[in-house]
Amino acid sequence: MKHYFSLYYHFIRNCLMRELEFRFNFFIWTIMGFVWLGLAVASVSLIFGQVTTIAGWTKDQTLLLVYTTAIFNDFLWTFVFQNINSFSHMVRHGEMDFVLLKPISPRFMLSTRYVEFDHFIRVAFLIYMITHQLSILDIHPAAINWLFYWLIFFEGFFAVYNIFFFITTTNIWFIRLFNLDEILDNTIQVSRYPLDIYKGKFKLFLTYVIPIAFVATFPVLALLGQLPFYWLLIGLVIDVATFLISQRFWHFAIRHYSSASS
Amino acid sequence: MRKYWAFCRANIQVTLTYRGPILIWLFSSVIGLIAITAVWFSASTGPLIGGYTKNELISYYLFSLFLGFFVSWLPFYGTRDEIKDGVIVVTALTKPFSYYWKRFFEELGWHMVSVWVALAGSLIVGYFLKDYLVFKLDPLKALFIILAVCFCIILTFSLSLCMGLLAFWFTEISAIESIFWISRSLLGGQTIPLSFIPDQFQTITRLLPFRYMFSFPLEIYFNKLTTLEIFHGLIIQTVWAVILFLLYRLMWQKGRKAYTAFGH
Repeated sequence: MKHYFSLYYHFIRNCLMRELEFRFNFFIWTIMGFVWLGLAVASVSLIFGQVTTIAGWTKDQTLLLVYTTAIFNDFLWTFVFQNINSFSHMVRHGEMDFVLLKPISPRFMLSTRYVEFDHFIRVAFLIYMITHQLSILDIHPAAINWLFYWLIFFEGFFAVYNIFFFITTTNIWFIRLFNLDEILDNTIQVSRYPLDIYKGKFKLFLTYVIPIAFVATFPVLALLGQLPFYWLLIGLVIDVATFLISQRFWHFAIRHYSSASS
Repeated sequence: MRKYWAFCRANIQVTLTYRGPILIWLFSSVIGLIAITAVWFSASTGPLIGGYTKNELISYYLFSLFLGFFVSWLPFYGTRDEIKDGVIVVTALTKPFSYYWKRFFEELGWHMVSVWVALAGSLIVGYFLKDYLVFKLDPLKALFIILAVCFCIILTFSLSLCMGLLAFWFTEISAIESIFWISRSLLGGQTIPLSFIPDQFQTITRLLPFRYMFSFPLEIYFNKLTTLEIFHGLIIQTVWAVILFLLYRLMWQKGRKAYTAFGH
């Protein structure tokens, strides 16, 4: 385990060095993050310029969802997206061989090799915006609600990572799925609207199978003190189930991998 | 002209070989459509929302799904990569053909395949929404829409190509591509109809090219424009098409002189 921590430390260090090499790029992407956030806020604001509530949620409440979705997105860009994108590239160019030959878990290497750093400023700003939005709503969550918010949030993050690792694994057969991050990105954007807009089986699907509910709606409800604590347990079960399924699928898929170069 | 059709045929084969990305784009677009449709179903509103009825809005987003595939001719990625990797020396700079038309026919090849996938996807989603869809088309309006859509393609293609050519001068241009998507989403009416935008910003949307890359044919379809406004819009589309073509020629000439490639 110590070996893995040390390895992860070196991955982060290497990525940070690379990031510092291209400082202008870092600066541009930090700004672009704020521009994308502006687009999300503008879209929701323009919709609320025409309607009073969406599934019972007001504009101020929905903005909490927008900010939480943006934080989730930032975490995905920081830890997941680049790794997923490199997966397809590795399969296509036969570079997966070098991962498989290393004396460590290939899944660990494929999932943690890259870390991006240009999202942290936006995350800090978004946390400030959430507290500001809560004060507008005259809601002052207790520490336990904040803890509940982050626990549910990271449960959702781990489940979404597992599901997309599962989907990325299909590159072993499809070879050139270079745009998988589009699905990930669009699915996450769905979370900026309250889960209550969906009805029946589809709502259950977005709660348990593709647990989009854990991205923003549940964390925000936790913050507002409207989510029962047993959802933490359900989230844990979903995390374990998605991890085990994706791991089994990964082992199945790797048996079908044929190198492109050697 | 035969040489350009060869690019088209080659790209059809590449697209048919690697079908996965098209399905992913379609699936991603459908996810977005489901979300925004659900928003409008559950929103508490008056009879008109930004000048549209609820059914018109749902139809707007379904047609947007298909239109998005149909008009998104985006040579940006290929152009950027060819310039960055130096491959453009072999594929275009030392070859006797127009880079503009090479890219155009390659995009045509991709769209000759992807448009059928988009049509199938739109019809499947349309089947589930059939009770809410609004159909109002007469021959004259159909003609205007076809013209407007053709211009949408030309404008999107030309702007995307010009953005790709920036790689002659800058090594990292992905952020510029983001600006394009943001502009088309908000000022082009892809995320929400332009009538939702406050009046003080309407003049800007009417002058910038983004409205004429996406929203314009939809506005014609939903009877949001008078005949005079349609003609006015078509003239603006023509002007932008000329401006962007001239910009392409200027960038191509200057860019080739400023460019240095290694290893080829």
